[in-house]
Amino acid sequence: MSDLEGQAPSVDAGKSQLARVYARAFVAVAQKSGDFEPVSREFHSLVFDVLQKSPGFLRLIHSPRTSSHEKIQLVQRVFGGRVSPTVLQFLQTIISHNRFDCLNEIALLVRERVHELQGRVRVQVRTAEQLDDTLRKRIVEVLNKAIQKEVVLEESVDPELLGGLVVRVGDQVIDGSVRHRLEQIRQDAVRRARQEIQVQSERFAAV
Amino acid sequence: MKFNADEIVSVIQQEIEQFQDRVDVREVGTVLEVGDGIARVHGLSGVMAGEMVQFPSGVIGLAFNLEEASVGVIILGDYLQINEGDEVKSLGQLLSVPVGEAVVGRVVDPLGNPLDGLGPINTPHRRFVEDTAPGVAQRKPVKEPLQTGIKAVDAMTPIGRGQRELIIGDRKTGKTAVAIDAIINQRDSGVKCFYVAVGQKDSSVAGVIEILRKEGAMDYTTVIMSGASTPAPLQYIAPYAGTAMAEYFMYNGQHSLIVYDDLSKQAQAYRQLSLLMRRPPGREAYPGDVFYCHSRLLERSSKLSDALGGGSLTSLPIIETLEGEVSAYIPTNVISITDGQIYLQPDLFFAGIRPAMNAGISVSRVGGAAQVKAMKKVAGGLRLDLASFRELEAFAQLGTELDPATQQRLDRGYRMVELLKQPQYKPMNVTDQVISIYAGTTGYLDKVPVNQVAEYERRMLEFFHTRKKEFWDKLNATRELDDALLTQLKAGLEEFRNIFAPAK
Repeated sequence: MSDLEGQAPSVDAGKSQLARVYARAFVAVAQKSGDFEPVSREFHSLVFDVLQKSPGFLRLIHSPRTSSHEKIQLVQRVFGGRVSPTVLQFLQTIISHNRFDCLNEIALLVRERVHELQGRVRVQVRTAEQLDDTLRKRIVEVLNKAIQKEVVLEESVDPELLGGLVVRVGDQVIDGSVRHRLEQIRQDAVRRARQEIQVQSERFAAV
Repeated sequence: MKFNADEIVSVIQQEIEQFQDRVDVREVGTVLEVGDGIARVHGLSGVMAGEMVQFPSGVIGLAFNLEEASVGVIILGDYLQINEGDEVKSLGQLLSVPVGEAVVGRVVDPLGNPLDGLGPINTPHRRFVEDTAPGVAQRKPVKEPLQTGIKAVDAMTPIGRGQRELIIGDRKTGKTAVAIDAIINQRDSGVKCFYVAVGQKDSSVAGVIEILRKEGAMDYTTVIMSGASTPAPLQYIAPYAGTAMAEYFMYNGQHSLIVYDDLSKQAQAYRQLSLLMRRPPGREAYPGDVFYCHSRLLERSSKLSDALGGGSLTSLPIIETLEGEVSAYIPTNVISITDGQIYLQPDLFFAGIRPAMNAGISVSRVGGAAQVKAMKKVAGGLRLDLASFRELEAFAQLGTELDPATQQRLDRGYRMVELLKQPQYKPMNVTDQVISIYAGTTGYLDKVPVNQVAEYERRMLEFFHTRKKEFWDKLNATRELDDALLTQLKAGLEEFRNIFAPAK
């Protein structure tokens, strides 16, 4: 399922609210058509591998000067026969509803839903250095056990962490990085020193 | 103080040795947009309303709006250092402020950080900024008086400990002055005072602090400062933070007085936040829950039952009206919440009647039970007399010939009005007030020229303080005007009338 990974989510609160409705509708239609997974994958790939790489086409679709009738015909000409009828119809629907600008959000939400239905969870792992295979295997193992769901790992490298790793599951962040620990030590030391000075200032006075 | 570096190093070393490796599990979100004191955050799916969140710069926010796709956060601090895409973490705590003896005499911001340069506030106690008010079973009727030292207020709209008395009026009618006098008068009463400045000019608050300091009132007063330049979220929470500090004393069996100066500005700050959060506007564009904003604040003022120590929290909220419009939204709300109001009018103020209290429409709904007995006896009908005098005065302006009885009532009225005038920052002892008002209502001043009433009063009180000290001390101790004392008082007034020779 590597074709469903790797897109950094960029969020717009208003758009994602609209997108939620369309995503739900798409999932429902795709499920009805019987082959939910391939259709979703196709849709996702269309959005991120094709459309996003052809800005000229997107400009044309977004342009208010093209009438929606023309746009629908354009989509029919370009994609007709090349994509499944479900995806084609869905594209035409959002064009006629003038919601083409929500396409990215819809695709992301569809992907999320696919994961959800398959019992998988996306987990972002940040490390200071590139993970090797044994470590990766261990992380997946541990996380699988902790979350009780199949884990889809998204790795990124951030040298500023210095060491350790930061795991993000949904809105939960588990921070075991060296940078965070150093910061904690700093805060604790400052707090403790301040407390001690307030409580028994004479101990610290230089004679 | 000069520090001994070795000692500090040893503390830090100890801390590092004892450092327990805790993996930090936190709930996070991402800032979508930020500005005007609010931020919209994506994520934080488990955050609860009113929970604290922290931005990378260390600034604290409060979850204010929980929506399907995002969380609206009000930022309690500098929002210019927050950027789109920043990680926000929820702290799983509610906002609290430091409370206790250590905050007394300090000037702090609404989060309890000192602003007066007198060092950190060293107290082990904290209280939640938002707290529920005591219930019925935890309360007791308001019985004890809270003397403001202002003749007009103590005589006509007495305030009891645990009461909420609104001070309402246009701009420049002396609203703050009434509250400041009430604070100054608590010098010997042991009542802890809190002055919450919301949306005021920083210069005026600096002036208030200076006066309190000069009058020795800063020894028992805390100033909670959120001036006009403070972001709206801080202005919004300032009254709650001040109340939390004042409640500490109430729940410890002590008495406290809190002045909210003023709640119209707080309502405006709340309106700003609500509109930015896209909550639907209602009347005057205020959100629907602006009533709750004030009622839950003022409901925290109370007189606690004996089982809880019998402490009290009296509040003097201030509301500024526009052109005397008391039927605007916020004034009607706060009038309906409080236990009475002191109504100050600009025309009286400019006529030199200061405090410019309109006796006709100022009331105190519970304070009567709390009034000093002697005062109740002498000032019983004063409010109605004064109100009817105002009507008569308007009638007399028609220039008709008046019968002697009416003329006499008018004369007495002029002198009572004169007698109730009081200079600023000169609160008066309640015993002196009783003597003055008794002299006025029983006609001892009727023959004194109106422009010499103040002088007459000053010398009369001096006479009682020096020549009738025994009587004065006794009245001051009992605060009850029984027959024996009344005879002595009459004799004293009679004696003084013969001494006083009006200056020509």
